[in-house]
Amino acid sequence: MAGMELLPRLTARALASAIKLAGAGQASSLPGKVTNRLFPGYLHAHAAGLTEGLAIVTGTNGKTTTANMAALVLQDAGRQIVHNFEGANLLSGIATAFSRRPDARFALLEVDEAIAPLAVRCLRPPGAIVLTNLFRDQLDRYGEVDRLATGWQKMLEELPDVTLIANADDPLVAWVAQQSGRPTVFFGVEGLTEGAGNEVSDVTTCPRCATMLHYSARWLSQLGEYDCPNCGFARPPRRLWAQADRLVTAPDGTVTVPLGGDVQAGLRLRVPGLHTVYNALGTLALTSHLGVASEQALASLARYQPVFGRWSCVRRGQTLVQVNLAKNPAGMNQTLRTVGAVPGPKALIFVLNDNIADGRDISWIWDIDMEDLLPEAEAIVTTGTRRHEMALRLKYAGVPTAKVQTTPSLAAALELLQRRGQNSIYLLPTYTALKEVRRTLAGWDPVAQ
Amino acid sequence: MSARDAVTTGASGEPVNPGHSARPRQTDYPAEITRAGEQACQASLPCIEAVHLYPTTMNTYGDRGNVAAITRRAAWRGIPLRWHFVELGEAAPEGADLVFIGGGQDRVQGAVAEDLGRRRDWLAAAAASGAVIFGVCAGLQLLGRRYVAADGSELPGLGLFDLETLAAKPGEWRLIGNVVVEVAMPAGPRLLAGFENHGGRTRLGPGSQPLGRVLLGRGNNGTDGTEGVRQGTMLATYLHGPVLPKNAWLTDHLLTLALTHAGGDPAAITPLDDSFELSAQAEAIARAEGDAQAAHGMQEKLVAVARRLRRAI
Repeated sequence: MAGMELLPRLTARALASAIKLAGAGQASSLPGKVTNRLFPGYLHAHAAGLTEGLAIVTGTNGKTTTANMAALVLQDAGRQIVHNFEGANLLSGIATAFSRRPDARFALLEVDEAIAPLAVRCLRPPGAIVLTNLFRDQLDRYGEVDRLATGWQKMLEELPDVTLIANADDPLVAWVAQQSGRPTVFFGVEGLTEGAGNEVSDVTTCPRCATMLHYSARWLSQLGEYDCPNCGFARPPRRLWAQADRLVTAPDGTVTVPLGGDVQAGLRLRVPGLHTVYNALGTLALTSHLGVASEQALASLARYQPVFGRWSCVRRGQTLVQVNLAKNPAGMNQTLRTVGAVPGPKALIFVLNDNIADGRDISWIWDIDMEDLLPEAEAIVTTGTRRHEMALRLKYAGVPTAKVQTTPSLAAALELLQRRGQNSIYLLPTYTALKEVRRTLAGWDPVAQ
Repeated sequence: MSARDAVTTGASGEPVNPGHSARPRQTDYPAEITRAGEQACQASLPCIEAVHLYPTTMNTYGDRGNVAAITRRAAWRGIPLRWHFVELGEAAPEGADLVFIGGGQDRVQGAVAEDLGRRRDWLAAAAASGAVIFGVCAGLQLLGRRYVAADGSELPGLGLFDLETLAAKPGEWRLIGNVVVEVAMPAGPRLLAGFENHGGRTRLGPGSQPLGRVLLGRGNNGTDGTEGVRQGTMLATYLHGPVLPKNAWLTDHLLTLALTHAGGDPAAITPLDDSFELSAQAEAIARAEGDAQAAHGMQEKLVAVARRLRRAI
């Protein structure tokens, strides 16, 4: 590549090595941060070299898994891609990804939902955008979901040639996609009649006319079968769907579900949960748009292994620990539901941090539907910077206080549960807590699923 | 009678907009947190009739935690309490002992202000009779005289509180962060810990008292050190987090007022084991303190750099 770019790339790589040597973890964001500051044209110059184009994945939940699944499918199909695979989805993370693969001709980027408009302007117009969902998350940083939707709308006005892959079951996402007038592949799930009756939802009124939306079924936060009794806005027709009433979870966590629409086949995944099915649907629609045959994509998806912290699993002796990042009410509700579906005795560890990257405001834990979804657990330990607030949340959800303990460190939490003979532990950290989780579980054996 | 039934059958008078309430509505409440009180209301004891206005349209910052705190702390003492969840256009019951209004997204505030305007007499009568009116964030703003948006347009409030709110001017930051407030109570000052996130700057008129004095954080407007507002049995705050669970004393204060209004004996508000509540409050205060120290440290660093620069020049 051009000489003017060599310097920033070397800077980012040198910093990445330095940070790795210093033991500061995965070194995925900091080098990019410095590069952004020093070389504002860096992203733009790199994006210009993407002769095969750019696709982005954005939304509140499911970005990392969708992007990782799509990256696996594309790599299996022999594509050379740039991909920010560690969930580092701000400009700095994207810059870091470019510094690792300066020669790639196609970029598949997971982009934070709030900075997507800025990222698109810094990079280049993407050929395709996957819109996963819009849930409440980090209200202190991003404000309400309405504001994010407005940002997306403005972004799409400036992208006349983009194709959207959008979740039809989320009214706000569907509205943004329809309103944009851009060609859209809608995906969704079919066959569910209930599931989210009590969950807090962020889109209760029609995005078009502000009348209260009517739901004939609502299965995950505001995801469901909806229509507006006033203006006729309704869930758009889907081109690809999963028949979720026929979803089967095997004892080993493997999920199978029949698909319909553009792909007439069965989907097989090693990662549990309805949210994972949504991620796979987004992946299938995106990769098919990018020219990968669906049989090939399904084969790749069947061997997809979760990244650390997204239903990843480690073992030491008799003790099995499953880790899943849960950072907002919709994600946590789905996590609790998935944990509850696994049979057998279990213990839970909640790690609640309120650092900037988590969102300083932890009021979201009170919007979790703990009362209905908290699985039967033999013991619950809370840790993290706001562990006492999480313990209080559990108390007001009706959990006997004798069952709830708080400890300052994760290591102590694990020890406590191991001493009590708990062999099946579900560990649910917020974003910044993942670092401590990674460090604490470094010596444990990874378990393939 | 279930919570859902209470919303429709416990109401008297015509719904403000019958077309609205006829539609199937989604409730955002786990039935379990309201059931306990429901059953107790069948008994002959005085029952607290509590109204949550706009539970679905105004529920942005963990407001259901406030409902859980009120419900649980009544139930743990065997005090009957029944919730009525009242949405836009739905009728509210007469004789409420406690009315709660939470915070919401900007998009719905016009519709809420309009709906609330039609409930002015109902709310004023409740307040005059000594019922508790408790507002959080947007709830505080809408109970004031008016809200002036950034473009100068005005949203009329109810005027139950002598206060008005100006939207953030261009260049003004939203007031966001951990807050600690000192509240004067008859038995001595109490602490309130929570989180604020508002663009609007609220100024109190002479007819209203602040709820408390800001120790850490920004408060009503970031300048005069006041937080929230109180006037008789009406009380509102910018603090969410939510505010009631970890500030159990405030929940108990509201319950005492509401129970008295319902004709019950306030002595029924007996002490509980509040170790979890106090730990969570202490943790929130420590976080607010940490933030203040970090900000102070940053300030000192900047001052030091400026000094060094000046010396260098």
